[in-house]
Amino acid sequence: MPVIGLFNTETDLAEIKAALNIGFYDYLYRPLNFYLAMELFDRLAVIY
Amino acid sequence: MNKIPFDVRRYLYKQYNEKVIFSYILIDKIDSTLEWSDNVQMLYDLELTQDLPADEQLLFLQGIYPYQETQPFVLSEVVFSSNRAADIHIVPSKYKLCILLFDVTENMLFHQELQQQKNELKLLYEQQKRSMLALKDSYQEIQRQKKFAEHANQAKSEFLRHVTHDLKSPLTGILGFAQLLEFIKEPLPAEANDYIGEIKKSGNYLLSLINDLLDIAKIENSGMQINPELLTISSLIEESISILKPVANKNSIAFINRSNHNLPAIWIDPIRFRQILINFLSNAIKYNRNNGNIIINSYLTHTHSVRINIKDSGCGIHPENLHKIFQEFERGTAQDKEIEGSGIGLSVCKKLTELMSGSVGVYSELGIGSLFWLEIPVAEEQIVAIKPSNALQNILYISDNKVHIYLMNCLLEQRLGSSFLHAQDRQSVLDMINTHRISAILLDMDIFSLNALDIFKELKENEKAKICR
Repeated sequence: MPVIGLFNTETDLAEIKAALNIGFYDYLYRPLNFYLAMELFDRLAVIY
Repeated sequence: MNKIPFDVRRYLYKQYNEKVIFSYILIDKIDSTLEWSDNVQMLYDLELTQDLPADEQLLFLQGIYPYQETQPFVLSEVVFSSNRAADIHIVPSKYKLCILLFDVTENMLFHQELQQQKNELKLLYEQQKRSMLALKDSYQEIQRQKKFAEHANQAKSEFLRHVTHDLKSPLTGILGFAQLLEFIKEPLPAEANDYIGEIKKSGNYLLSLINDLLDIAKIENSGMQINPELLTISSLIEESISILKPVANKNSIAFINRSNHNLPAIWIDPIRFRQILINFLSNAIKYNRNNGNIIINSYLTHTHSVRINIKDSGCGIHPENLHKIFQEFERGTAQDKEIEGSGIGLSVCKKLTELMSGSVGVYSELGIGSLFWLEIPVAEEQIVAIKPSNALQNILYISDNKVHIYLMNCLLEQRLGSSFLHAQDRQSVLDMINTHRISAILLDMDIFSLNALDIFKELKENEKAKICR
């Protein structure tokens, strides 16, 4: 079950990288960029 | 008013409406005495008195109005020393000579203002006319410059085509002989083999540069021929990956191909499409880090296009450079100088994709990587056969912020058509997972009541336990 982290735009990149390294599927920034979110869900819909 | 003879009053009403201020002076034809309305002196500064003969007081009429006239006579817009204007009607009656003064000051001022505006308008019109002429001149100049630029561009493309063609011939010789050297039976010194390798490497780079320049010249001269065929792209993706796998292996970069193999066919030129894919993939290798990865996805979008995403784990592109990444001779990364490249490849990719009615784009995060995408619309005859795309079912959103929950609900259910669930504490997360089939989880990292990473770890443990069961 893919877990996507929702981060604030100010979040340190190292924190995001650490999350990806421990198994987060991907990440999105909040406020959401609709196109990026759509792209991510489209991608997930194909895989899962 | 009653002092004015009836026939004069009738004349008066015919001439003006009641709103016009009027004054009168009446001269008795028999005894030459004067009568006047109160406002005569106030409005026009006329010093009227019974002590002087009427003729003397009305000197201004002498020479203008002959007393023997029997018809009304009008003097228009006479301006008095008080700066007020009046239309003076001299109306003879049986016993009296009636001088009626109709105040037209407002009218006069209005006309003066109108005249002034008319003059200003005329001036403005002249200015506009001059501007239009200047604009026309500028437009003609721009047209001339445009034609000149087009000729220059055509000449440049023609020049490029000739030069690159001429460069290609000797380069074929250099590369060919470098390859022949490798086949010499006599063993060459180790250094010589290194030199041959360097000649081949530089030669191949030069060859790819020349080919890109040739493509640009062809596209700009409308000489690029696209031969579209109705094809599915999965085999083209696999071929491109296998071509570049040895280069990726050298830098310990892994390809992860998550392409959908059941995509509808699209109209593409296979040679040009492979060229685009190889260009994107080469960049993903070039700008990646050692031990990095390249994830390739292909899927059908909501707008009935086949989309390919190529995501690398490289250094990313600075936001300032992102918008010009597909322009000629633009390169996006800070480490450009260390990496070979002319900045033509992506421009060629964009132009080739557009020739196939598609589009390209990029997302990037500095320090995380870049995602280049390419979209080609599905052939119309194929759209009918496409089943409605399956949106993700049951996306669980873990957050304790009510506004965020509402926003996410709107996005997932209304825009993406996925069903939406939410949980805000540990127990409700576990309940949701145990009672629903969840497709994906969105985890708010700023959740107040819980540690997001603890929840993530618990979710993973739960998943493992489920698999074991």
